[in-house]
Amino acid sequence: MWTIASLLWVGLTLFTVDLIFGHITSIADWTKNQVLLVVAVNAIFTSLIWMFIQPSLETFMDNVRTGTLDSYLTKPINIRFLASVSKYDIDNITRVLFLIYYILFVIGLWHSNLGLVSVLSFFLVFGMGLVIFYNLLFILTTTVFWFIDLSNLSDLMDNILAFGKYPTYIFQGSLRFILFFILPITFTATFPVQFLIGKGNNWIILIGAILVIVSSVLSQWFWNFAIKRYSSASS
Amino acid sequence: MLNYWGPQLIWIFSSFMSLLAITALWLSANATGEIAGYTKNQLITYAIVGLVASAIINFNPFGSAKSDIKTGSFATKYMLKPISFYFDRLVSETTWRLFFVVYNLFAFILACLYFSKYLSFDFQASFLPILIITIVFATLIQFTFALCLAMVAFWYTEVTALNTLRWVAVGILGGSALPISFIPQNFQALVRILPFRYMYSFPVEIFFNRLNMHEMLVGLSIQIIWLIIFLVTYKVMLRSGIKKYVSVGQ
Repeated sequence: MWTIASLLWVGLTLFTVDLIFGHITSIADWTKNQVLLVVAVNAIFTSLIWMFIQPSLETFMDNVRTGTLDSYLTKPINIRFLASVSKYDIDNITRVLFLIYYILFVIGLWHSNLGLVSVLSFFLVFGMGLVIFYNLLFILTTTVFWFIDLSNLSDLMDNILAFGKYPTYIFQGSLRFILFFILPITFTATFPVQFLIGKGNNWIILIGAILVIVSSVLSQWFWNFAIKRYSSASS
Repeated sequence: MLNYWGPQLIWIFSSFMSLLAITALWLSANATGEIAGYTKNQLITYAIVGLVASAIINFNPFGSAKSDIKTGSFATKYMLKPISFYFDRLVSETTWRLFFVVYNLFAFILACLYFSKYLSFDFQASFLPILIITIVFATLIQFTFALCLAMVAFWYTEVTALNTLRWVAVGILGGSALPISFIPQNFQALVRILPFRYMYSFPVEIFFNRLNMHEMLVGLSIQIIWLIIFLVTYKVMLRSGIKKYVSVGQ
């Protein structure tokens, strides 16, 4: 039943784009099919976060709130690793498979001479986005040591990811700069799709690599700073 | 203090963030003239007004009602006590909605200040009484329809997709995702008969002064008809469901 619900939400998002393009010609000079690709790739990105990252981080937040993080601290395993991989939820796998099929369908309709370099670049930049966002989400989650109850953090995560639902070139000025380099939503879908449609730049890969390193160092430093605030309730 | 302000700030911030994205979307849309009968500023205003409209109108008793039926607590709470299930859920949901209205009001005020140069609406103060009435009816229609869907839990174990279908229908056919004028002309007659427009779009159209008095009265009549239909459906489903209902462990 959740599979049906999940597919309905995806259908709503894609159909909304279809309705909008019944009355406009482009969004920030991105055509309908290009925007649909961005929407679909963003939905896959979000689904992967929901399946492989969010469940573990929510469990970690519960453990901090209830004071039962001791079960992690007493194990001879890196605590951050354990907090990040303790739980998965593959409910959204059908949605991901549907979206992959949809992307192949759209590409097949419109861009049949897709090169190997484009595809590999797409996966590279997409993977960078996953790592960057894992680090950012981990930093957000770590604030639970101060806020204690952040049960609606998943709502904030979803809203942040929703910024990447449309090509981030729709944003202007300082907001575009923030979404490109500070809170790099652009790596969730816009940049990967740019490579898929043959409009990617190599500097995107360079920037992505730098952001991966910076976000990793920052999240690890913040984790080391935050864990000292933890006090157990069960020992 | 930080313990409880955290989630509240997230709610307010999340609402405001969604408006940033929608505003950017409409401002970057390339179109000749109006878009589905709205200027870009009106579309941005539509989204901002939607913050408060959705907080007030989008009652959602589905989850709690379904849970009561599935866990068996429906029996102890409502079958053994002289408490109306409908009014208990309505009062509970109204209280919960008040929190959402307060949070979204903060985001709404913030949005009005930040996007003030884009605000564009032509609300007639003389329509305020009918606007309030249509909002109340829209709320009751959404609420009763959601309860009808929750009643299906008497017969089937998993009914979550029904609520998702409701949100999708309200989103597309009800105008909460986009104004209903985006729907192709061939389907407009159907949209005006179905209940979803009267769950959200109808009061918003009055606010944007898109309807004359005749259209408002016709719409109000259709709201009343749909409310009666859903109330009768709810009663019938409740009586049939109780006959079949088995509560375990209560």
